[in-house]
Amino acid sequence: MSASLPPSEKQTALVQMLFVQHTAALRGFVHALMPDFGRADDIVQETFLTVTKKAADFEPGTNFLGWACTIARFKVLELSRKQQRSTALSPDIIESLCACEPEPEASDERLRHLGECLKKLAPQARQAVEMRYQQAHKPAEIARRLGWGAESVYVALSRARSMLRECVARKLAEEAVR
Amino acid sequence: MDTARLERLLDLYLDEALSDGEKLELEQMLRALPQARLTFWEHARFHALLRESGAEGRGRELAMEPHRRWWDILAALIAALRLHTGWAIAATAAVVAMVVGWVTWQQIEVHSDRTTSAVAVLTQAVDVEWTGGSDAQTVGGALSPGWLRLKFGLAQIEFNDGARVILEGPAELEIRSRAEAFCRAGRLSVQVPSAAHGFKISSARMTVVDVGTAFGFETRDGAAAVHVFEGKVQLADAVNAPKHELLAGQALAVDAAGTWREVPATATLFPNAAALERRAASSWQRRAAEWKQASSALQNDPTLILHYTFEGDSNFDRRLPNVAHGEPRAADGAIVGCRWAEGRWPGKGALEFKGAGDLVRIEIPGVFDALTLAAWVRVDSLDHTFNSLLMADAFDRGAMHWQITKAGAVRLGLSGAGDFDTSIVFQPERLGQWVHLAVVVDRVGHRLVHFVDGQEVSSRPLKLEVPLGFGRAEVGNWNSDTRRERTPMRGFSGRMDEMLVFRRALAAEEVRNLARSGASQVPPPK
Repeated sequence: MSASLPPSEKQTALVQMLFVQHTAALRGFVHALMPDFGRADDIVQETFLTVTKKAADFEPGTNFLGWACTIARFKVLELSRKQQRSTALSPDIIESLCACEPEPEASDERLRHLGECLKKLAPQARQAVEMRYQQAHKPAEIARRLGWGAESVYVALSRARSMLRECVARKLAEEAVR
Repeated sequence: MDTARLERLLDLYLDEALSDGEKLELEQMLRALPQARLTFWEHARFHALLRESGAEGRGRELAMEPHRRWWDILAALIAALRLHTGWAIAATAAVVAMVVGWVTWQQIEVHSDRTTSAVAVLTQAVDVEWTGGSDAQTVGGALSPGWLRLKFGLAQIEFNDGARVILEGPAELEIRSRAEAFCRAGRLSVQVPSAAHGFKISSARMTVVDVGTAFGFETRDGAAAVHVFEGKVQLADAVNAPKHELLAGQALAVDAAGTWREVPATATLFPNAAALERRAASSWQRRAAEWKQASSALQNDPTLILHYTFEGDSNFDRRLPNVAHGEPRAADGAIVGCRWAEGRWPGKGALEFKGAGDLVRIEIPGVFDALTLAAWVRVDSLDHTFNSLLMADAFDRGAMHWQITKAGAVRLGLSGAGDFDTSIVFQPERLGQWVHLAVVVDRVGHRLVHFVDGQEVSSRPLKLEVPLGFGRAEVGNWNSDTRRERTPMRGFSGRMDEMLVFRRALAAEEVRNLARSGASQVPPPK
């Protein structure tokens, strides 16, 4: 390791630029392992600080996202060990999940399709999805606000996700044919 | 593999609702089955995609959140109290809901620690005009002991000891300490949470000390009255009064001659939380309408080359459209990382810059003899030596870096001409508040002038051999590869909800108008 060398400013700038480029993919990775949105944001932020600090360790031309994800994974593990009742999975599960993580997909196209698909949701389902993903509420809070039972919220979110997943997959497939 | 069960458990995991037993069950499946791990990634990735779209998306609902929560509590409280005490008292006692007012709470946190002379915070001001002798106060601003004079409107003041006062203009109130006020004239309601007993409000004829209550207080021309809606209050100096202690539902009045009488307690006479909320909503709508009108009038200015209104339509659009028509027109911005948040009023969009990677990439083509930059910003903290507003990528001669220093001064760094700083603008009490910043850079007129909230704050001669320009630039950050200084972190921490660039030197009057449109100052009522 070249930890003893001070990171050159150019290297720091490069690493920060790469980080900005790959933030969406990194965020996706962290959200998968840390369902709590607030903590996930913290982890992404800490990862930025760490890659900046360790900029000298990064070899230009190698896989930046992989490197950043490794750092983020350690942050998730650290947090889940510290927390008594963590929403994260056990460390060994996280390790084995990371070992088989598929290549991240480009998200721009998916986001565009998702926008279309969201419009097709029933208003109630859409409301629940917005509360969960835009306002970052937990289901219990959504239930309280909407006056629904907790189970109805889980069901609504679960159905909405599965419908949206299929819708996006269909649109991607249609596009591939064209 | 029980796919349905796995999917159910994954849904619960993503919604943070796994029980301990379910977590073990899910972990067992993931450990044992490679296929389950692939399903995990499929579901989890999609969950992340949804979050990305939601977070990047238009945050209007998010922006309305605090107020909605406030309403929920208010509604629940009214319903509960109605059952026990009847409608009128319930409605007024709903002032209690303010105790948990989100806005208030946050502002108290921001201000009480840092401002030594402050004893209270102005947490709401609706349709308010202040009269001479008291400075115009900004919502969220700390209040030191002194007079508040209200020509009209409703103001909510939270004393540092916890008492909350809603004051209705016309009124004159002297804030004396963190637990005491003197009212010369006006009508107000007071809500004192149990932790803040002992709040004292006095007038020429009457001094009321609360014992954990909600009450109304009124004084004018030497007469005064107190109406108790909840709990009880004590009268401190009422020698001839029929009572020295009033309970809920009782009211007492004293006239200028010092004659006391009992009157029916009437909650509807006094300003309450619901009225405040109602008027605030209509005031926001008016501001929004005025601002829209002023914005569209600006579209006719051929020298306006950049105008970001932060009002994107699509939830999934990460472009920041430039709505200006002037040539050479700046490009639409590309939003990186930032989240949508609430702007100057509920319903107004803004971008929040928080992370070190939050920025908007823009390009302003062309070179100019003069430029005017203007923006509405809410600075939350000054984390770095320099906190970027609008920064040219390449700091070549004629290029500009508009930023805020760690000390709180606004700096326009103009390559080839030097740095132009204001004195300290962002003192602790200005953090968390919306501020209008503008700078006029006039190479031909040889002058550089900074404005804060429409007022000129610094003006210095300027000499530059080359024309002004930006080219590629960043809003809220500076990640340029060509950096020359040892200041790697320049991220802005706060919100921005409007930005304009004119290719001419605006007159002071024009800058004042920009700062007025959509500001919190409200025109007189009809």
